Amino acid sequence: MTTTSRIGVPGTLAVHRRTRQVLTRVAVLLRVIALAPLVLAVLAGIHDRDYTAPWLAAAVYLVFAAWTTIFVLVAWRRGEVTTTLQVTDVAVIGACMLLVAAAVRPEFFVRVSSSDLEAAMTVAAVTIAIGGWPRRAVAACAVLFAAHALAEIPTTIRVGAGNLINTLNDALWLGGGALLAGMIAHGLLAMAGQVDVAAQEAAASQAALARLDERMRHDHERLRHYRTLHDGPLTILTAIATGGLEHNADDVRRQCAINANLLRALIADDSTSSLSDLSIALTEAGRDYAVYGIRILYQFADVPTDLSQNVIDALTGASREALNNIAAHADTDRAWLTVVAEDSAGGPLVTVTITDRGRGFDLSANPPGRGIVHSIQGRLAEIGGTAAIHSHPGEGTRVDLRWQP
Amino acid sequence: MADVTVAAIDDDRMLLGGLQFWLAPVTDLDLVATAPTVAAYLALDVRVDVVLLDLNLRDGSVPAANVTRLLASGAAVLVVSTIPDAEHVLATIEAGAAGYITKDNDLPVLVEAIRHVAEGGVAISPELAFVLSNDHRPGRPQLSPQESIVLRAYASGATLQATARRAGIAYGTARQYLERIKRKYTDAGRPTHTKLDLVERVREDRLELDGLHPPSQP
Repeated sequence: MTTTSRIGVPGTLAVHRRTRQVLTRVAVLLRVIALAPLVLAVLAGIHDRDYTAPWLAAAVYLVFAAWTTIFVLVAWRRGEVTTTLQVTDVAVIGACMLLVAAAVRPEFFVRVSSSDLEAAMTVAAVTIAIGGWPRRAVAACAVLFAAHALAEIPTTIRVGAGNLINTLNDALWLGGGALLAGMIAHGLLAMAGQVDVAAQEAAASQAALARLDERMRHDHERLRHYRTLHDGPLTILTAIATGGLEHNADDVRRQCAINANLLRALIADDSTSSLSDLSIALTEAGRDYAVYGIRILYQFADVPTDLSQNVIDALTGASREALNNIAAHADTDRAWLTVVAEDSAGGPLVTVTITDRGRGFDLSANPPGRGIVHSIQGRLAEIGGTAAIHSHPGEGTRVDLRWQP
Repeated sequence: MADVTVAAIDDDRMLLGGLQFWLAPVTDLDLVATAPTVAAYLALDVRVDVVLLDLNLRDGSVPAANVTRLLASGAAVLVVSTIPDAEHVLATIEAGAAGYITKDNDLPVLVEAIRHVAEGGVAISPELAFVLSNDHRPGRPQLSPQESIVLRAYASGATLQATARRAGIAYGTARQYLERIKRKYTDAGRPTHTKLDLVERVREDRLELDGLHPPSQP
């Protein structure tokens, strides 16, 4: 079980975790500060010749110093005071207090105002309380106070009720400090949890907004899709259904074939992705050539769905110009409009190819005219793409439009 | 030369009717049987040179399995469909279908494809070339750079002459490339279940190589 779930906040949360870390470091710093009263107490003890067994006292202080170093390093590095650290800490401090009592005269605890390990004792209880362990903090207070009281029994016997009040005073500071620290930590952690929940909710609503945005984009795409269907196949099917058109007439059949290809293009677009804006724009452009009786066969594979509008406009505009040339010069009723995208280092290389099997022309004898240069190559140059025209008399014409991000 | 016998398997009755009407004036092609499913066709127990098989029959049959069953009957299979569903088109070609064309093609294109298949050839339409050139499956047959150029140019609708010119090769060579690519797919679909099969395949491949590069005689 994590501390996080103990105060009712789900999951591992950033601000909450950070707050716990800061609180732990505060506790560790307090621990270092608590060394100062100890040093003063020892100096006072030496000055007053209170140490009856100086070697024992020295050994205890050395053990305590070593443990404090380990405690500070481990807690600082891990960002938390683990159960092992808590238990060992209470045990070491309690034992040290009892052993020091055996190495001094009873007067030692009366002369020094903050007797010896008292500060470390309070900090140990505060540390456990800060970690969000109220029951353990109570238990630690009880153990440490018991050790403290035991250590001061000789002093109490010597001095009497005066020292008893002193000891009770220490107990109040011990319990009060831990309670206060626990309340502050609990309040801070609860607030941090609320901040995290709010952040999660904000992220969730942002995701919902993004989904809504995507949905709107998708609907917009479908609307365009329907418009293309309405202007083409639906119109001709309706005309035939109402009996206004003789469906076996050559021109009607041609229109049917053209519109069947349009439907095929809209259905057969790469099944793994949604219909791309580019394929919709190109079928819209192709639809306009129905009046010239040109049947366009559309083939789309892996068309990127995230092309910018100016790239789509340039590719569509250049394709229109290539189709214009077919309508005007190729003497054919068929054209192929193919879009493929290949993965490459710089991003997808998009190639739009407009091909016919019509008359073709000699490129060397008929250098690209104004239409081709301006409308095809010029448009592609504007978006950083290239256009290549291949043609030969009797073999049709092929226009390759290439663009890469 | 004897007429080419043809059967058509399609569950669209309107299309079968249209096909009968269409092929009636073509003197060297006889449409002798039509059926809505492969099972119904096999039950007719007729032998034909070429079966026109609809890619996606609505009886839920697997397109590649349909091709295998029809090949076992001794007919060559030309797959047709309204929309080139890449996954199934590839599967039927790997199963040994002689070619694939979409149903929107004009009569002369269809007739030429049937004649070609009847002679033991392959019918590679631009739409089949497009499916093959956009095959990104991990286990797909490996094509040489020159084969890829030919395949792509042909897939974009260019005539075979224009395709050959684009690749800088002769017309006949371009045709050979397309046939070789088609064969790579059929070979990829040819199963090697046993060691004996494997030996047989090596032998076939060696014969094929020998055929391509005849050893020079002193």
